[in-house]
Amino acid sequence: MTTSHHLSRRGLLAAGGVALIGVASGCTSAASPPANPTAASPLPPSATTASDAATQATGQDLVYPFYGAHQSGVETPPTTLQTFIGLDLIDPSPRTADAVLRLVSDDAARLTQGQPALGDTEPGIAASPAGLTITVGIGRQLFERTRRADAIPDSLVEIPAFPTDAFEKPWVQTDMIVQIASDDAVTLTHATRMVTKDLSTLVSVRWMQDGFLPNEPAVPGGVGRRNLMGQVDGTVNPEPGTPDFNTVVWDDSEGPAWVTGGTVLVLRRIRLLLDDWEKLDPTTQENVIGRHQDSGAPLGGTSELEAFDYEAVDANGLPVIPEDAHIRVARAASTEQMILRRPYSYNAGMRNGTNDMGLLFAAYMRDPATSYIPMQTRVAELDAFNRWNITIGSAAYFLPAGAREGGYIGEGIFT
Amino acid sequence: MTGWMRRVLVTAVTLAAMAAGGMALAVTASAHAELVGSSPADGEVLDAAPDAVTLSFSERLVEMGAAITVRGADKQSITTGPLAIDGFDMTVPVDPNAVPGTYTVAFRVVSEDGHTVTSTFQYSVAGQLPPAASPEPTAPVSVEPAAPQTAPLSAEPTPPAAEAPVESSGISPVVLVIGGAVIVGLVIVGAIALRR
Repeated sequence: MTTSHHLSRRGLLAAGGVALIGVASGCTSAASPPANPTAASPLPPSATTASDAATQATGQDLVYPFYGAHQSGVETPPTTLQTFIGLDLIDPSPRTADAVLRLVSDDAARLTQGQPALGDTEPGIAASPAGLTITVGIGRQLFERTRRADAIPDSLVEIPAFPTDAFEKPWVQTDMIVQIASDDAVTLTHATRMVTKDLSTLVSVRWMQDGFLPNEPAVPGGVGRRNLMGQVDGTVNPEPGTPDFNTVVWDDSEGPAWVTGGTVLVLRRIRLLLDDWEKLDPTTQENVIGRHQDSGAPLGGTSELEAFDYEAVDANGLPVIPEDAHIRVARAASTEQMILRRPYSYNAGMRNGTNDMGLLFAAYMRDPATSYIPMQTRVAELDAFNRWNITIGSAAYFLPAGAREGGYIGEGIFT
Repeated sequence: MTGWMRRVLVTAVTLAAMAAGGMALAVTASAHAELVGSSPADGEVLDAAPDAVTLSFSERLVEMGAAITVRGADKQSITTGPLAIDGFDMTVPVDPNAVPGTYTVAFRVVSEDGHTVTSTFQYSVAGQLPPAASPEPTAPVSVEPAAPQTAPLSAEPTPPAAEAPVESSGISPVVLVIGGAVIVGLVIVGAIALRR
């Protein structure tokens, strides 16, 4: 058992390494270098080829760059664990906002590279980054509270209320968000500890939302991973390192340096009504989502990644993918309407005698006004799946461009 | 009453109550939605084309995942508007000027208990087809009424027609009635005996 797991994991990692190299050679956009993993510690002498190097720089040693055109944690492959920390500034002054950005950036620059943070009492944990990324976002309200409303990026629009919203405290908008991701729970928790400790005199942490994913994609060669309903989730996405990815995700406006290369994060906390969902027969479940449960293929198809045939009808002329199936309602008609989905699952213990479990729907996009908002408007109105979930939290942030070497994230916003 | 008689009676009453509960559960679990009636009815031959097709089910329907087609021999749909769900019924408007012939109604509905039901039935509109626009004059085609029980044309792996009996509790109504009577009698006898 252990052996086969090890083998399949190695095989997967090797495949991932090859894919990244393919991306690197095929990428022509200088503005968007793909996130190549590099090793935190010297590689063993046996690792001689580039392919081997990519393969070896995995597991506990996996490191993603901190400095660059974009923040890591968006185009980098999803890690199995991710924590979102929503925080408000105690003193909403530009100076405090700038100090928070500097402090988080300093921690991130060290910890993500396998180095201890300043004053780190546990350097042994820091030495094992396991793909650690630390990503920072700023909410509209922080610009407003610091009297910098004129600096709000055009793309950071208000997310309107939807009929399916039923927000509960505390899962709503905060001044800032810190997204911490790693494949290792102790590494992630240590980074969470370091960042919140360093900020403790400057911010109030409103919430932490811990998400998790299966270790591997649901089907070999696929990309989606199963959520707590057993559905293959996160399939429809632009491919990292492609022009489409840049179009969908990265801000290309000629704004300040911190805007160009940034993106917008919409984070929704979606409780799943699993007791009711599990009463549905499998056919009904598949018709609600529009995918086959086992393969993740669109209804009527055989593989996860194949294109949907929304026009397909069965022998009697009935649509194969029902009119109100989730994938039909949520589909994007063009690249401009697409978003990058990085959905995680959450488990928040028991509530009123049943499990409080669901999705941390994290989506990244160039412009919510042309992508997420129209999609969610359709979903809220038409999606059959609405009967089995409740959106209990929502927040949106601008993730500034990556830090330049020696600089920090969000440099120039509050100075 | 002696102690052992009382214990036997208590046990019998408890077992009877458990059996009754189990039977009730079995009956409840079998109650998936099925088509219980329609207008036009399965196999019905009408003198004039209807302006709507209405299906009635044994369970309340949810407004989700529903679809219906009404198609003639040419496989063209004659529905003229969106379907509507109201309680136990689903209705769809159809072309009142549809030509004589046999029409197949195919539907998919989801019942309140979360089950998808897919099946088909046929009805016919009597009369003679208008002369075809073909150069050779052909004899008018008379329409044969549809067979009352047509095999479902559904592409679903398990047609509900075959599914319904399988999904029922498997206990015949006669057994249910006799069993129920015996249980009720046992409970009454036991209760009376225990009171003494």
